[in-house]
Formats: sequence, structure tokens, C-alpha cells
Amino acid sequence: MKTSLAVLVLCVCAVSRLWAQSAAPLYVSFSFAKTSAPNSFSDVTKTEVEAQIAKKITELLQERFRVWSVVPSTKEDDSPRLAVWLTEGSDWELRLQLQGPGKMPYRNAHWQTVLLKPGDLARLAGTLKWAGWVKLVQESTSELLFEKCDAIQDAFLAYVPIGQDIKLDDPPAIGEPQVFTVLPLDWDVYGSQLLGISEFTIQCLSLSGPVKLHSVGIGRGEMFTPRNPHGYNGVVVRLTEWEDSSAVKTPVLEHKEQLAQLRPLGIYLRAINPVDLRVAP
Amino acid sequence: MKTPFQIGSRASGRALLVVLFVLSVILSAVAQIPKADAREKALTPAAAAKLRKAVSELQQPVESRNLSDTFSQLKVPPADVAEPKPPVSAVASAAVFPVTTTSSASPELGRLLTQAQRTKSLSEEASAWQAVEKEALRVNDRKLVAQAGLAQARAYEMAATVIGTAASSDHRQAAIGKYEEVLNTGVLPQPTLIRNNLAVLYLQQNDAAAARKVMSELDWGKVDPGSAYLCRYNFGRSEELSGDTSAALVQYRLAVKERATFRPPAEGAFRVLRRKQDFSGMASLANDLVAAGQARFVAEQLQSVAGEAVSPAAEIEIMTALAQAYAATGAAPAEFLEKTRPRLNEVAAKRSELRPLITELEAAYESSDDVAVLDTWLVEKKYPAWSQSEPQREALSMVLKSIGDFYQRSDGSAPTESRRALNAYSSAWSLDHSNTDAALYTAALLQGNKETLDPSGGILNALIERIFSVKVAGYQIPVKTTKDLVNLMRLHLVLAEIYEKDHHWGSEYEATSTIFQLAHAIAIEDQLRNLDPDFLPAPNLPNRLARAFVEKGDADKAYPFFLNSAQGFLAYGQRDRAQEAFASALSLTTAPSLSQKYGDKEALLKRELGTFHNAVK
Repeated sequence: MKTSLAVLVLCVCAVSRLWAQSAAPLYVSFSFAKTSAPNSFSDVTKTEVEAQIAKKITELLQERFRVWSVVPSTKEDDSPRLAVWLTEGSDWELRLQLQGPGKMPYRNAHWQTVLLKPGDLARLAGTLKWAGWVKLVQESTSELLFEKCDAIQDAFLAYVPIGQDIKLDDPPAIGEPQVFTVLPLDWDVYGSQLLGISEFTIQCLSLSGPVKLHSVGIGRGEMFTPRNPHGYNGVVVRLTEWEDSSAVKTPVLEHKEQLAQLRPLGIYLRAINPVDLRVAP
Repeated sequence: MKTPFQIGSRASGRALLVVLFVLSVILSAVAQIPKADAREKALTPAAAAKLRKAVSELQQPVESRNLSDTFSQLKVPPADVAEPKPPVSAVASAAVFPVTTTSSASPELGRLLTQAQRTKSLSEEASAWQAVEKEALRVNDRKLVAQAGLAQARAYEMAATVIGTAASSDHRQAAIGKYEEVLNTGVLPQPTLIRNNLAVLYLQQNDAAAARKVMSELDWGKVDPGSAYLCRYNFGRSEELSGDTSAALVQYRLAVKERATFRPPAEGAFRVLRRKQDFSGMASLANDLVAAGQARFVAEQLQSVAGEAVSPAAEIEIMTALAQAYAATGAAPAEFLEKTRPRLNEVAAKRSELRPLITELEAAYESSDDVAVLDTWLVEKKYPAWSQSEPQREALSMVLKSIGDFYQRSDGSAPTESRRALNAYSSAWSLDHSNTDAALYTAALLQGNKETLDPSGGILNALIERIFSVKVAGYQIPVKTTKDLVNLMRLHLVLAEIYEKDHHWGSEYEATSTIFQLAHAIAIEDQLRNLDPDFLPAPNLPNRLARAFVEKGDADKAYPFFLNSAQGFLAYGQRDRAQEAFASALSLTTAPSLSQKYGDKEALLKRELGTFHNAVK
């Protein structure tokens, strides 16, 4: 019994280690909602088609926004979630909405595009099979992601954390007197090509209220975490500013002693800077 | 007797444990796969082959391959590097500085290389590479000298840009020195990386001329297409700071073309055009960016220049581009009135001649819920300033269409919202008859809200009268693109549905009838298929038209459309629907001449639907 428990723990550890190296997930759901789409198709149910479409949308999002780990939602309370659904009026629209816990929509985080213009459904009647719906939604989503790429990315930056389990009390020894920390993002996946010198905000809770730690990647990876290694290199950031609940920013160096008392809530990406090729001032 | 793998047996429990253990080991191994620990192992024959391949790739002159991929392949230590003692976390910047040596002449070189690759302190990194460079120079490993030089340049650059110390300028100068050295040797095949970053460092040190020179010698044929936008921008910036704004603009426009979402070149282009007072160029850039989905950004840029132009014509051009950008953002009227109106009023205060355009734009967003207007003269009277030229009419028509979309989307069931939507759509179409979207949505809104919006059908009749010239059955809509043609087909289908519901079958010559609308929809579909063979036919349309003819009692006209429909459904693999349409055709009593005329088609369908046909007989 003891042995099996040990092995199970080992398995869980291995899985959690794999998990921790990826960015925190962004869930995706799709629904035909209250449209007149058929309840069943010849060989699949509507729910199965919805799952297929959610998978396709997930792939499109992952391809365009490589930084976040996009996965299809499997539970009602998954969050943050990009809810996608169809509406039917004069035309059929595809709607996207970024939602937080309890499916609460985030401000200015909704987008839409026309899926079928008036007359289209009448024309396609009798010929639109389930694969046709998948293709239609896939194409419209792809166009919408292209058109609203910046707006969607801005919303992701603001609301979708890319990680959580940060250890502020276990910094790498890189260069005193600056303050560094290692993010739980695998350097080989995220650092060397994507986020190595990007800017991050670490949202924390202190005894006196919420605190935001602003930071910038320094273009290298270090063991996550130095004293308590998890078996992979994470992205190293230099903590730059401490922003208190009144939005007052001060250098992190002034709060060095308080860092270990903070409870990190989430890591948010603030700006993506290219790693290899520099940009002119 | 239980088999060893029966559930509940001790053996099966052990087997399960073994499976779980193996699984955990595999998972652990997978977790380790991409880790830099691999670097700490001695070089295996396979790794050596990989290294040779990577090195030979690096020696190729073309840079179009992904440099990062090449770099990651090089993260293997040389064979003569001693096994490290404690497992030190790899310095990830080594991924960007892929350095290796094939020299076996100096074990010291291997040691130094490992040391440099594992240096943890940023301040020590450059000196560690300096030691490698010195030793490589001693054993005459020219390539390693260059690689170590590049690594030093990157270390100084990193220290200057990321760590941000007071000594940044010194670090930059040191990075410049090393980059220049490496570039002059010509040993390394990454001139894009070197030239680009060198140019940026020059610019940071306020030496635009040097930046311009180093970028002007870049071989664009060898630039990785994925990075071209960035290099173009940096080149443009060095041109701009050198004072050649025309050359800068060329590079900025190319960068925008490569990646419209990358803001610096777009901002640079607007900045240069503003300085040159080239408002036509600005309007053209705005159009390109709006088409690439950057409407909000364009609106912000144009708002900041509105009112600055010298000539009234240029002002109108900017206002027209601004209206197009507003339309593309799809902003809610309330948002526009709250946030944008104050800024536009500032512009109007600066340039009084723009006041009418701005007032009319506000009037559009204030969204009247009056009776829909389908009279061009009346709409022009409401928006006289925007009716002056075709581009202006088109721009305001797009704004009105976007306002209609907002109200249609917000709540189609609320009468006020529907009326606002109808008013906006109908005004949009009346102002610009080539806005086929506006005509389509006007008709669709009337179709879906007949009781509340148009109980007498007067508005719909007026719309049809204006869209179709009833006497000659021609269109009043100028059809400019394939998209317009598709919209026109949709419009016929929306209208057909209205008349079908009313059982008003009519004829091919009566615009307010089912048959007219469906026949025209099918004719346009044929036209679209001629233009684009991939445009799929819709077998439902001939089926509906055939039924309309049957209802009217014209079997001869219904017959060929049923056959067409059956053929179409067969092509889609919809046998049931095909059989239904074919049965309808066969059930008709038609003139004998038709059997001769369509005999081949009927025979083909009989073969395809053989069993069924016999059963029908």
C-alpha cells in the first residue's frame, strides 16, 4: 500500500512538474447557443460538433498567441475562459468574450464578426453538414483573430496570467544589488525565443493590500528555483518597481526585506520584447 | 483461480505499481528532454554528427533559415570538455551565443568555454568570453575567436539594455567595438543579427550616420523573412535620424507591409508624413492600416493631426480617412460621443471650416430613430458637408452602416433600437448606393421586424423600387466587386423569403415577387461560378424556384429547376433531397418537348437514382 502511494505521489510530481513549466492555461469553450443550428447531424451530436469547434479555435489561438497555454475547457467553472458562441438575428454572428471566475466578463474584452450574412443560411439550407459548420466557424475565427489581434492580445495581457507559482524568497544569485527572481516558465520553451527580455507584472498580496511588482526579463534562464530545484530552467527577471495599492511606484530595492512576505497571486505579461534582434529607440 | 493480472490480486497490484513507476520515469524523462543538462554530457557520436551538421549549416551564407533553431542545435559541448562536477544550471544566454570549438589542441580552451557558458554573473560574462577569445587566438581557432567576440558583444549589450546601469554607455561602446570586430572578420554567417544590433547600438549612442551605413550594406536577400519587418524599421529609423525622411518612409512602409501589428514603423511613417505635411500619404497609409485591422490606432493618429493641414482639401482628406477608421473600429455611439466628440470639437475650434463635417458626424452617432429615409435627396440634406464628393459619401456611409450594426446587434427586439438600426442602414445606402451591405441589412431588418418597422410594407416597396428598376428589371446598384455581387445575391434571397411567406409568386418580370427574386439570385450565382469555379452552387435555390413555379401553375418552367436541384443535391451527397427533387420533377405534367430537351439530364438522374426511380414508377 505504502509503495503504491509512493509511486502515485511520484507520478503526480512528474505530471505537476511538466505542468508547471507551461504558462497557466487559458480555457476555450464554444456553443451554438440559442441559434437554429440543427440539434443533431447525421453522424454526430451537436455537443460533439461544439467540442470539435472548441478544439479548432484552441489551435488557432495557440498558433497566434504562443505565449499562453490555450486548452479547451472541460468544466463549467474553468477560468480564465474565452467563451465563443453564435448569435442569430438578421445575420449570424460569432462572438468572443473573455471571462473570469464565475463567467464574469472582463471589461472591453469582447469581439464579434459576422459568420453568415442575411440570405446565406437560406442559400446553404440542406447542404451545411457538421464539417461545414466547423469550417465556417474556424474561418471566421481566424479572420477575427487577425483583425483584432492587438485588442485580443491587450486583453490577454491584462487578464490572463501566464503563471502563478513564483517563489520570491528563492532568488538566483546573479548580480547584487539588483533583485532577481525566476519565473516558472521553461526557458527552452518561452525564454530563448519568446519572452527572454519581456516585461512582466507579478500581482501579490501584502499585509497592507495588493502590490504589483514590475519586472523585466534579463535574457537568461536559471534553475527554477535555485534552492529548491524543480528540474528545469525558468525565465529570470529583474524586479524593477514596487507598485502599492495607491498606484505609487517605488524602486524594488527599497522593499527588498518585504519581498519574502508577499503572497504572489499571478504573473502577467506586460509587454513582449523581441529577444534576438534589437529595436531602435 | 486468478490469473496474475486479475484485479485484486497481489501480483496485479505489483504490476500496476511497476507500470505507474515506469510511467513516472518516462514523464520525468520527458520533463528533462529540452533541458540544458544535455550540454553537460560527453559528446556522443550522434551528437557529434549533429554538431557537425549544425556547424556546416552555420557556414552557409544564406540566413533565411531560422537562426534560433540553429542556435539550439549548437547547445552541445565539445568532446574534450570535462564532465562538470555539481549540476550547475546552464546559462541560458548560451542559447543565443552558440559557441563551440573543434580544436583539440587546447584542453584549456574547452575549460574556458565551459566556464564562459556557465558564468552566472552578468558582470563576469564578458570577461569569461574574453578569456576564451584570447585562448582561441593563441591556438588560431578563428571561428571561435569570432564567436567569443560575438558572445562578448551580446553580453555587453545585455548588460547595457537589460540591467540598465549607469555604465550603460560604456557597455554599449564595448558592444559596438566587439560587433564591429566580428563583422570585419566576416567569419560568422549572421550579418543580419550583427548589423541590426550594431545599428541599434549606434542609434542609442546618437550616431545615426553609422547606423545608416551599417544597415545600408545589409543583404536583404539573406534576411530571415520573419525578421525583415524589424530590420526595415531599424533601417528606417536610422534614415530618419540621419535626416533622410523620404528614405525612412520607404523603409517604414515596407515594415508596415511586412507586419502591420508592429507599431513603431507605423508611428514612424505617420511622424515623417506629418513632418512633410503629406496628408494624402497619410490618408493612404491610414487606408492600408485600417485594411490590416489597425483602425483604432489609425483613428488615434489621425485625430492628432486633424486640423493641422494647410489646405482645406487636405483637411477633408484626413477627415474622410478618419471617418473610415471610426467605421472600422465599430465604436458604440455612446463611446464615440463621450470620448471622441470632445477631441473633434477641439479640432473644430482650431479649424472652423471643419465644423460642418464634425457636427454631421456627431449627428450620425446621435442616431435618430425617426422613420427610415430612403430618399437620397433627404439624406444629402441631412449630411450636406459629407455629400460633397464620392469618397466622403462612401466614408459616412460606412460610419452609418457601423452604427446600424451596433443597434442591430445590441437588441434587435427593442423597437427603438431596431428603428435606429433601420434609419442608419437606410441612410447609409441612400448616401452611397454602392454600399451593398447597407442595402442587404436594410432588407434583412425589414424582413425580421415587419410588424414593428414596416407593417404596411411601404418602406420595403420603396427600397425595392430604388434598388431595382422595375420596368427593365435592372439594378440601380453599381456592382463594383465580387463581394457586391454576392451581396446582391443575398439581397434577392432575403427579399424572396419575404414574398414566399406572403405566397406572392409573381413572375420573372415582377420585382416584388418570389419568382423574380429567386430567378435573379440563381442568375447571379451562375455569374459567380463563372468568375470563380470554386463557388459552390446551392441546390436549394432551384428547388425553391421550381416550387414557386408549381404554386403559380407553371409546370414547364418548374421542371428543369427540379432537375437542376436534384443534380445539385446529388453532388453534395444528399440522396434523400435529390430523390425528393427528382420525384417532384417526374410528378409534373409537362409539354412533350421538355422530355426531349432535358432527356439526357433525366436519364443521368435515373441512372444515379436507379432503384428509387424504379420504385417510383
